[in-house]
Amino acid sequence: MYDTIVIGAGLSGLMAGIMRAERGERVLVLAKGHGTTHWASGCVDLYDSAASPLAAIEQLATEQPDHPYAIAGRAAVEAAFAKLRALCADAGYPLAGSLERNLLLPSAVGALRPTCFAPATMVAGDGRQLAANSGQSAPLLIAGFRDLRDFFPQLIAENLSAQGYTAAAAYLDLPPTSRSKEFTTTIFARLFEEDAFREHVGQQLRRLVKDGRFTRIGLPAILGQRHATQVLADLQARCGALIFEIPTLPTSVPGSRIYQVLADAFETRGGRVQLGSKVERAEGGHGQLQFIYSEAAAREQRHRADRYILATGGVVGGGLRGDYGGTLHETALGLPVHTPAHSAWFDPRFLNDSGHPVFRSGVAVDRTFRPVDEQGAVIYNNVAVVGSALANADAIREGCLEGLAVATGYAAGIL
Amino acid sequence: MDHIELSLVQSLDHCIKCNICTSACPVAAVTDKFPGPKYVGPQAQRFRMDSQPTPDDSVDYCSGCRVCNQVCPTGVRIAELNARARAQIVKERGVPVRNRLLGYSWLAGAAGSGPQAPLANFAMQNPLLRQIGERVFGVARKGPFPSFSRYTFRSWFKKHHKARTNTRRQVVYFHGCSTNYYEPRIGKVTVAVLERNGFDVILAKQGCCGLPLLSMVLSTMQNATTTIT
Ligand code: SF4
Ligand code: SF4
Repeated sequence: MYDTIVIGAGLSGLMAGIMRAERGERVLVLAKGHGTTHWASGCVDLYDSAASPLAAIEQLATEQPDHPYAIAGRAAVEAAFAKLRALCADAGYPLAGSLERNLLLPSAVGALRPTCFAPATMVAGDGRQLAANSGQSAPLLIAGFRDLRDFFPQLIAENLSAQGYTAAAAYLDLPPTSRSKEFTTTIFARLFEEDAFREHVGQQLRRLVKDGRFTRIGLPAILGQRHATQVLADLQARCGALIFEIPTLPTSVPGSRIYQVLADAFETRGGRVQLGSKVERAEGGHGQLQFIYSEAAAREQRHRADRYILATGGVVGGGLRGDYGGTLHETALGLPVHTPAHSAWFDPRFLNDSGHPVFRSGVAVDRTFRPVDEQGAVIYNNVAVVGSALANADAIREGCLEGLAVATGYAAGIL
Repeated sequence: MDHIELSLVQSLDHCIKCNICTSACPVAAVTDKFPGPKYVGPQAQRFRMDSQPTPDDSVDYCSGCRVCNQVCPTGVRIAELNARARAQIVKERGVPVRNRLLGYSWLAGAAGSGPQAPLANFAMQNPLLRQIGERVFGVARKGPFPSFSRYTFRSWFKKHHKARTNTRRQVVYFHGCSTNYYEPRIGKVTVAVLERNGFDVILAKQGCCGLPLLSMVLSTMQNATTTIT
């Protein structure tokens, strides 16, 4: 018997779990598996805005009172980000950035992507810092390994140069290792924690810096798993230039680091994470959710708690699923999904500026994140819905995927 | 194909190629003879046809630990796909002696633990014997073996004076082979904790749980053993 069961082990679920565990509750996080944390960049987006993202969400809250940010409220957003930063800093993996101004960080194709907070290992890639660099005699270098698939220094460097951030590209030789094939991002991250490997890479970088007089080097985000901060500092010391990580395609090492930071924080506060346990149905009535059932080896496993927090994500995370008939389902508890009629899901223009109506689908909630039906009546008093499962936000277009997860997870965690 | 079989095969279509499973797999972490769950599971499965020989051998390195299943965000039944693929290899080529040796680890445990343990441990650690073992049976020379215990957990339990609990709360303890033959101290502390909390500990008659057999793809024999257990 738990005080709270959180369904979903992404940012929102873990934030909620941590906050409830800090109140002394017995908390279980049940999840199908690792999720979107391991696919995403490992940065935390608050809102895609050229000016202050915090001001933008304040305005959003007045214009769209049903938006999850409006429900969480500005105070919770600020407190949630402060909490997240403290957790990461305590784990020796600090986040850098500001709620008032987005960073602009190079992506794996060399586009500059706005984000609010990034791990300190990425921050030297900020567009404003790069701008100060370009045109000077000390340009920027993007380097990678041929053995790492889907990371092309040349592509990134050319795209950055085309945007006015002069950059050169180089491939590094793979240091001698016991491995001969299968160099995934995770395997590289483990190798970078080895002294000898770093020494070899450091020497190559040093030579490049000497020959090309580079002051900044962008490398794929594979610089260590548990000790990224130290790995980065060590490489910088060896080569004499600033280094920044550029997010890769999945599996995302920075994403898995932030998962680890939060999962560790949750567990040291007495919480328990049970993966491989997809919640498939629920039982309840009279406004109370009583039991949930997760998939197990030979039969269902029944779980019971006073309070439940649904943090299973949207379509990408598996919390919402569309069937062929054009109905969206909430997959864990069977809650009604707030969504336009099937015929109104999409705008005729594929790349529509304001997105497609279906993107705003999700579970509708009241001011305390309790799920409501189409009439606005609360379905379960002891359930809170957080993160991408929530209706009335288009997180990708608004650039608020992680921020929304962190803020709503936090807000439900302190209810 | 029954619905379970069907759900396994269909689950491979859920794979989004994120490689989360590969990142978590303990075998892929230590050897690249094993390309990882994504490759040997949902990817290779597309090339496994009933009427054709098995397309890749590396799946045999899968230990069946199921970590990949736990972390997969889309619910692909990787470990089960692997287990069936390995069974297919065995069907085509028979069971190697190595698998028979390692699969019946409880027999080895029963033979090695007890007063003769020092001798057995000496043999298991003897480089010459291990080299022969590698040549003849294919058991890696450097693979560490647990050491046999001088006494078994069950023999200790028989002599152990149960704490007087006056309770009707009972626990049936399935300790497993490892606790019985190699690490009885695990069982001893388990009993201590349970008794301290007022439980009456009962040891049921038990055999091998079948996991080593499953790992070694001796699944038909496993059925027999599971019945014993
Ligand atoms: S974790 Fe699942 S979805 Fe991702 S690559 Fe592995 S099998 Fe495919
Ligand atoms: S079951 Fe096999 S493939 Fe999956 S994690 Fe374990 S060893 Fe790797």
